Amino acid sequence: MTTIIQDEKTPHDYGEDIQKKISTKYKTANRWFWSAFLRFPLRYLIGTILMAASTYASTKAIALIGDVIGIIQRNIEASVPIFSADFISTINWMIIYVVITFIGIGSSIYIWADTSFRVQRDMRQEFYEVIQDHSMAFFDVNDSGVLLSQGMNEINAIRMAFHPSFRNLLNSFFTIMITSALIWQYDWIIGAALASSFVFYFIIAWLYAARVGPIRRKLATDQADLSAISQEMFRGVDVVRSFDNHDKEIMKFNNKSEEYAVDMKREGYLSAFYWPTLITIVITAVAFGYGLFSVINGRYLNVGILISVVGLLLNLNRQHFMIPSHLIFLQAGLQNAKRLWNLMDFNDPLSQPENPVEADWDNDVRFNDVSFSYPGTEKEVLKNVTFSIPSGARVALIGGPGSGKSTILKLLLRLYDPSYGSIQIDGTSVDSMHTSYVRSNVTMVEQDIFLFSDTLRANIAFAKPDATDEEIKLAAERAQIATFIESLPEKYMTVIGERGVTLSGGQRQRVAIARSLLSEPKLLLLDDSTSAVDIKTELRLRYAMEELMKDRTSIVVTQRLTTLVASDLIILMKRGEVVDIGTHSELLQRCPDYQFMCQHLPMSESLGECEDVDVVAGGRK
Amino acid sequence: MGHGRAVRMFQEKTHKRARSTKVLVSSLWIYIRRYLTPLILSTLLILFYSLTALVNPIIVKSGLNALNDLSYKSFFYGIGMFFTQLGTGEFVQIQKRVDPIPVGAQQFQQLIPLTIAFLAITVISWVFNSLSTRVTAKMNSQMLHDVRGDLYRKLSYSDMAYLKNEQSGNITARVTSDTTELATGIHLLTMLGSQIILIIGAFTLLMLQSWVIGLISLAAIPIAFLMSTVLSKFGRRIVLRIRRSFGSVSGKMAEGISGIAVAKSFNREEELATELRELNQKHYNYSKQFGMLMMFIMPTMSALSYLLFIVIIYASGGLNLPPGDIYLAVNLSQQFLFPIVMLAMIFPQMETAFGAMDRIIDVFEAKPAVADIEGARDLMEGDDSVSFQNVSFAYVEDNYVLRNINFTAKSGELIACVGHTGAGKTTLFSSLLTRFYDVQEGSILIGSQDIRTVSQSSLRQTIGLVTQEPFLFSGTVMENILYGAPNATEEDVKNISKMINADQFIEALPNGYDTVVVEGGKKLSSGQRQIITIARTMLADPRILVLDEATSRLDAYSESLVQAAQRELFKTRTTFVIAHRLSTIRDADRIMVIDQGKLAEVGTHDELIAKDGIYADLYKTYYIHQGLEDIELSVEELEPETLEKELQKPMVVPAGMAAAMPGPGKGSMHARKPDKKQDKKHLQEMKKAGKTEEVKKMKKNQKRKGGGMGHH
Repeated sequence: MTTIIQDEKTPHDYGEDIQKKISTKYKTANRWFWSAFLRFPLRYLIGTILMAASTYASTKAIALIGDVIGIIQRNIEASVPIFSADFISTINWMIIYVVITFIGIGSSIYIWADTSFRVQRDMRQEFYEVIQDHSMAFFDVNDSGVLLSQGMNEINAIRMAFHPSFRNLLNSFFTIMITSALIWQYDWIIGAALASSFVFYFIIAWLYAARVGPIRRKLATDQADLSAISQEMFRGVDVVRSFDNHDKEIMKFNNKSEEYAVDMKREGYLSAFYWPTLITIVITAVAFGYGLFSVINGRYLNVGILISVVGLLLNLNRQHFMIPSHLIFLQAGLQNAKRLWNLMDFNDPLSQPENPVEADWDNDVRFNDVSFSYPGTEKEVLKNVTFSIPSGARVALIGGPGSGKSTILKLLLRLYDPSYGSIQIDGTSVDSMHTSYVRSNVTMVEQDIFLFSDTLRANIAFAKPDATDEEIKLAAERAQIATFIESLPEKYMTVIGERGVTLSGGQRQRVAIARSLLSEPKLLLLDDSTSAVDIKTELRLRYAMEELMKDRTSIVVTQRLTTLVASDLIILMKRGEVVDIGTHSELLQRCPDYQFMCQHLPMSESLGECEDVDVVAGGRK
Repeated sequence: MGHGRAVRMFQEKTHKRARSTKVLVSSLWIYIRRYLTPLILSTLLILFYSLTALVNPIIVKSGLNALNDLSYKSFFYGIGMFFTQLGTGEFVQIQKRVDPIPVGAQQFQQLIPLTIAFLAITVISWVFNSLSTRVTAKMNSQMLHDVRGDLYRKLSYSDMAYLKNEQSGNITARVTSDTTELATGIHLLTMLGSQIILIIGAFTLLMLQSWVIGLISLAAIPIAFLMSTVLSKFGRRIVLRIRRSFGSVSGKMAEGISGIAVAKSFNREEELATELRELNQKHYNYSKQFGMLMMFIMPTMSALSYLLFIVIIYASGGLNLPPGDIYLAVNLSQQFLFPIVMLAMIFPQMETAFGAMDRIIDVFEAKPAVADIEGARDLMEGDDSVSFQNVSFAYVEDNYVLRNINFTAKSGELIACVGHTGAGKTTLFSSLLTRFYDVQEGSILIGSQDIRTVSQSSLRQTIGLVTQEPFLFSGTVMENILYGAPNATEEDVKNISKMINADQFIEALPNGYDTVVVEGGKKLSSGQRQIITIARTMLADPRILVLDEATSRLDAYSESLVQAAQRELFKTRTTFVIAHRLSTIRDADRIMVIDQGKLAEVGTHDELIAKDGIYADLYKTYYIHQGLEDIELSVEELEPETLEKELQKPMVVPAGMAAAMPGPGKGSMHARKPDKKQDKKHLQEMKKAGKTEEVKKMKKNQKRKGGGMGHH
């Protein structure tokens, strides 16, 4: 029965384990972040070379201004025509440099931007695919809104660390190096002073960024909290109003707003006196004085050199004022990468077996002394649960709140593995099977139906994307939803959800049933605890469920007396434990808990005294 | 910040302003007035900063020319010369240097003050800039806090209809992003002044230097502005596309995350990943286009300034200007060009700020909620009877939801209210009795007091409301139950929960009472959420209780347990139950049947059944369907179902919301819920048309089978 998958004859390809792949490829958050350059090395290299070329050209053009003025002065002094040959050729060089600058800056920005957007696309996809692969344990502990924001905004932040921030930093670095080199040609002393001061400058700027960065991030969370407080209040305004709690809510908002204001002020104060700027100011001023002196004592041939030096320094001053904020972005990107990496590197309690096995689903399903607590919690929601379901049986699960009914369904889908004991199909433990294999044989119709905002067709065909129109129509008919769908103008192509029409609860349930019909499961799990309010919804649903349960093993969480009566087996749960197992009449005879429950089901009245137990009054007649 | 700023510059104009700039500026004045001192201070500081930016090149020029000028005696002479030239308007042209520069200590000493002046001015300029940033930061943060506070308070007390019709996300955008835009706008306003001064100053100096160069520089203005308009036109379109595609990536990811259990159970993760990849690729394609746009902006701007240099150098050469003057001209052309580019960027942002201001004023001018009358008194204790006297009400003018309701509930009575969806039940109790809205005609009395004459605070403390939609705040379950009774102890919470059988539910939660509610209670079942809201209201111990289908989300078994317990709690108070289950109705002292906004029938269950009217119909359609026998009814006999009218209309995702970047916080994933009240109005019409027939048919079936119901 059980087949161990051998290397040479692999009956199923379960796809690769993406998390494993990513974590062996990049190993650490830092490597993942910097992998941007490894993903597209050639593009980044070309972008960098072009940037260096354009920076050289634009810096050189500024240096040439002094040269030209020097030529003009020389020509005036020598009383020769001002537009001499070397004047013209210098101007021509300037034009050439401007053209190089124009092309170089443009193309390097484009290549950097394009490549960084590629990186953003790929990292986002990677993040999504990895977390999607995590088991439900991950989604239980992570807020989906936060996950979304991380997948969207924080990936954006990582991209921004590369483009524009890293690009600009690199550009500033080139400008500093080239400026130092050019000034060195005129006057090595100023050049050397400049180059060494910038090492110092970068260190200070990095430290400064490390100080401002956290406040910026705090501001971002403040803003998010403020939104959350406000959203919550306006969504629940009738509750706030009916408890006359306005002042409390306003106070809550004001406190947060105050906090935001304080942080904003703090950030402003910090960035106001950004003293590293003084380093370059002093250098420029000293260079100016020193240059004047050099002209006087003849160290410089003419005023043009001074103009070039001062011009280059002032150009540098204009460039570097953005350095700290780009450093902040870079730091933020690194931190975001770390956060995302931690999510991707989730230590999943549920792992795929090394050698997945398969089983014959036309055999008994057995819970063998199963205990379970949700990952990260202490509370045991299932305690030593043991039962056996013969193939093809209709089983009803019943129990009060917190009895563990839905947990049993989740374990059967292998959304979680039992903490203790095992679930066996035909004697094979479920946790030795691949999750996709289990789920291709088990289907669950959950209580709160989730449909995608897509067409009805896509929703029904969700389990079987290659289903033909006939198959879809048949499934819809069997689920009692076809007539309704065909009455819509767009029929099966009607879009539902956020951007389309809204379905009633009963309609959603039947679409979900159609969806499950197409997946043709061996084992069907149905959570049907809340009952419909009006008779037509009720009836349609009952017919649809009837179709779905036909010819397969089914486990239904229900409180529908009709379903209970028709079940082959009823499992009564209470606080995580099995109280009794048997048919309706058996339980009604012997199980006080069941009698009590039945008394409290609304339909008990119509059932009346049809059994030898008085359901209403309880006990035997 | 390069990209971010550029994106802001291209922000789409989604909102057509309702008010003129003049009106907006004058409204802005209300806030500006409060911060006049820091505002003037920061403007002055920026002004000084701009001036120092202009003075510095003059010093350099003086230095350079002084080197050239033999008659140069001292730095002060250089400065003096400059101002004389300014005064007379005649610039001394070429001063030819005849002799080589004499080398000596004297000259060096003479140049020292010039260097010091250069250093001093740069440092002072830095100080001015820093001070103004500091003053602005303080002012901005304070002003933002003020505007936000005012706005939030105003919104909290504004008309319920307004709040219910707007999405909570949109309202929040008023409070968070619009206020930020406004603060940015005011900050820009101060910058605007200094930039203009810088432009005028630089231009004047250039004209004084040489009118030819001045005019040449002038040519940069139209080029800069033309480019800014052309690019912002393209940019806006691209940015809009990027935002949309970002929105769809975000939507797909949101769906993937919230539907993860479904995706997993059907093994469809790979397909979802593929769909995301396609959208992701689209987003990349548009972003690439933006990169292309940036590829032109940045280099064009710098190429423009270089071209200006070249032309100025040529012209200066032709004019025989001394090196210092050429330097000054080149430098001033930069001082002139940069603020122009800045202005070209500031204007679209100012437009955004005005748009935000416009929306904010909308809020301030919006209708306030029902207000207490002057001298409103507290609701008296003792008589908790409730009477509706000739009550008529419409949410929208002349579209009456309720007409001439006359009914009196005695103190301590339990009244069940039944009727089709949309009949007006919720409106009558949840909206009117609580005075979320005022009635158009008639009056509602508690005891002998008209609720319009009592303070809302005392009214709401008297009435407890459990709404259909269970709403929880973020915080623990304990905090949620304590919401309406902050002075109660944890012991009280546990007692009340035990009393209504809620403790079983709460103890089943992972951390019991300390379980933290996130995302409105995502991890709780709707039944659990609902039972917590019931406990919350019960703990507040209201004298009058309104339960609007308060147990509809519980499973049948739990519901019956909860209801059994509630009977005790109802005894001492006047209770209105909008009912959806038979068991509730049968406990009631009297039943009100609301049909199409009118009070159709009143009486006990038996009386109304005997009457065989609307209630009897309803009863047969809704309340006795779970017995074994009605399975005989085949589906073919049912009326075909339809989409409910209002819901058929495609829901409009408001512009900006769909594409707006989801904030890092919660809430961005919640799909729009259809507006209940709107639905109901439409539903009512639908019911009129379709339901009666169906009901008749149902009745026929029931009759044929001959009352198989146990309790008949």
